[in-house]
Amino acid sequence: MRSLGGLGRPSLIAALVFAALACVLFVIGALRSRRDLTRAGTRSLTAASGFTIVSASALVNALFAHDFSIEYVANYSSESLSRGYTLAALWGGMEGSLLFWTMLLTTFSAVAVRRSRRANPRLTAWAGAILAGVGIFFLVLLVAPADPFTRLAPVPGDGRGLNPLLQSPGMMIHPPLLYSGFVGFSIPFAFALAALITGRLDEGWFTSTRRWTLFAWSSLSVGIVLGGAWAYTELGWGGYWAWDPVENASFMPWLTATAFLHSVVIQEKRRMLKIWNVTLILLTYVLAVFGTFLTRSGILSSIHTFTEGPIGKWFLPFLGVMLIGGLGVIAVRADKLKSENRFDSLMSRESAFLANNVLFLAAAFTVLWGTLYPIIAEAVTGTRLSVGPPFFNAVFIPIALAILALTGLGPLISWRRMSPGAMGRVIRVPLIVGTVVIVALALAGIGSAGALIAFGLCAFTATAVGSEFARGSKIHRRRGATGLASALARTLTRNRRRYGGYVIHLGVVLIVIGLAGGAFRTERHALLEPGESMRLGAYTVTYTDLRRSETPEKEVNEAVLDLRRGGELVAVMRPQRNFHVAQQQPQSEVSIRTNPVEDVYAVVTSFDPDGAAAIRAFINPLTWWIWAGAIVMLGGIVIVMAGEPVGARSAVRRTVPRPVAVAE
Amino acid sequence: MAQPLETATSPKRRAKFVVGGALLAVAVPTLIVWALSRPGAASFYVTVSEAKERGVTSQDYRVNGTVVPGSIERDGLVTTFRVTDGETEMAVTTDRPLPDTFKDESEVVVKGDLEGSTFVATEVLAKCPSKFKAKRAA
Repeated sequence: MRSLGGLGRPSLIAALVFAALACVLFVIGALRSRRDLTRAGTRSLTAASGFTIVSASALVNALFAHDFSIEYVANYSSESLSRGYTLAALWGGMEGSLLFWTMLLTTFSAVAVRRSRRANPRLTAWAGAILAGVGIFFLVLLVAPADPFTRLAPVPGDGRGLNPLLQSPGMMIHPPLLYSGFVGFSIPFAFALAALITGRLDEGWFTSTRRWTLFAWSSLSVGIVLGGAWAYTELGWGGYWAWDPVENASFMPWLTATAFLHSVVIQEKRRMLKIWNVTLILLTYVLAVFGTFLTRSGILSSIHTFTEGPIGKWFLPFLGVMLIGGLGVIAVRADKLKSENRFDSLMSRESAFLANNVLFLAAAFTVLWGTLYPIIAEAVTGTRLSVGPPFFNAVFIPIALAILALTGLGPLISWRRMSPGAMGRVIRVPLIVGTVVIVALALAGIGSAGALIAFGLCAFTATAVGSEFARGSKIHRRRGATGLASALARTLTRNRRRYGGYVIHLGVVLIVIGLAGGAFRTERHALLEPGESMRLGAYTVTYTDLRRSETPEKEVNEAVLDLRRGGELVAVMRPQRNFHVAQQQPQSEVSIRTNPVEDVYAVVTSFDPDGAAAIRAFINPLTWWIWAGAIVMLGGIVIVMAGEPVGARSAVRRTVPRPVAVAE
Repeated sequence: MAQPLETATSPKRRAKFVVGGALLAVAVPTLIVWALSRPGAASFYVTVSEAKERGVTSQDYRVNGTVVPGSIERDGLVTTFRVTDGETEMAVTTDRPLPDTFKDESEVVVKGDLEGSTFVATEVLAKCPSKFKAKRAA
């Protein structure tokens, strides 16, 4: 069938021309301080954004029109694919996902530049030039080696359809969120570099891009959690995180970005750590692009890797230019990045923030090391090896627990310095609560030392955060807020950034509780004839029936399982093992019974022709809290974002130094 | 890389941060080396021919290969099949769940150790999701 797919490639070429034009106009505009050229550059960038949107729309149109003369459409969609997943096919393959990424990049860039052009013309001109340069790189990839509009002859009658594993609601939103996160960091990155180039190294660059940073960080956070939720509900191995290289690729920029979000607070409050901050945002962006590269280069084997593409070799020089260029301008401007204050004491809020940063960076480094170790080992010794979850758990868990402890400790410590006596007073209650929880759980028979420490630290941190809320609302009650609820609400709304941040910390505590529950997981795998049972912890699982049916897409085989506890029927579970016709591939559908105490998780790993079923079942204690914690985090993010000023005018105001009330 | 310690001015204060930095410079590599020595942390990839040469080890390693068409047999939870690297074939047995993309001619990685001439796999991986690329429809 014909479609508007023919518009795709010409639009990409037009976008490339406009991006190049924008880059030139911005550079000249910046060098000559010509506002008219900067304005023209902004228009060119907007045009480039418009043409990439047209191009992406052309591909979406081709997907919906089932125009199988386009190879991408034939490879990733089919006549029988539902409408939602037909749209998801836009990011289901390498070329389409790159087009989607580029569309986000040019559009975010145009919006960011338009917003801050009047307030900060020179800064914006340089930032625009850098963003246009990044855009040129991705548009060149799309025009040359990763063209999504390559034609296919002869035209097949139907497409191959989308991989059934990707046909899940989580997969509809997980990739766009990750891409928004990755791409979103290009805005603070470009403004940081622009600040270095112009020599305007006060807080202007990050206050005017703070909403982008928060947006990118939030998208990445939610995207990572959704990826875990997808793995949990679709892949059928009972877990949510496997330390796969591509998971790591999204996690590393998240770690450095989290460090960045914290350390900019010190620059705002105390004018310190300026070099550190520009380096962190540079690292975050390089790691984000590196993540895109890892996914597409085929240099590491991962369940996520796209077919070894021709574009991997394009990324390394690009990454090299960004890293060396970035570090180069930092080195040139090092003298201008001097702190205006110094660390007064090891026991101070500043030191706690610094320790937090060091730990986040150590975590990112160890994960990077584990991810790249196979490549390094192969280059040095010639042996090929694989680094598995035991390594990552061993390095990451201790660092993460230290970070958790600091999450509780940091807000209790005052700026500049704190006397040991004052420290003792604020830390006493959280310390007692944490210890009581550890002792109580140990007496209750929990033997895992790691889990005990984790639960104890969760209690410590939750109490510390709680005491901050209590202190805040006490002040508001004294000032006349009547009830506890209205005092709490006032506390939250008067300083959204600080208390929204604490809500995010509480979400993290809940997530850690859920992760620690993983230490107590139970697994059974058994072959059951209809009517047979197996024990699973305190439960009995009985395979009562096999139900078969057919849809145009798949043959459905459903095992009906009775879940009993103490003889009482608590749930009927219906895991499936289906055969997808278009892909000629079986696909398991997991059945999960979830509650705050524990999940019961059942998968059929195979059916025998005589009707016997191989059932794999898990008890995953506390997993529910991971998703609950993520929702609390999202709530905190909304509170923080609602406290941020919108638009360029307020950004100007914020660049004027003022005694900001940030997480004080 | 950036120096977060640039602000320490007095010698005593500087010393504190230098000690802290040095501790960290030792702690992180130590953590990494310790973690790499944990059981299952790192496993070697070998070809089918190399696996046969190595024979029985007491360590897990990973073998890359292609499933020989027609060799898959299931008996309850136990699946046996043969993998090949194009030159040598090796029998594999496992009682672990197999990935959905596991079938004749799929490219697999089996993790485990040889027992006699049979490779006992504790994990079977197949190349998949976004790796999935449709064969060109004729």
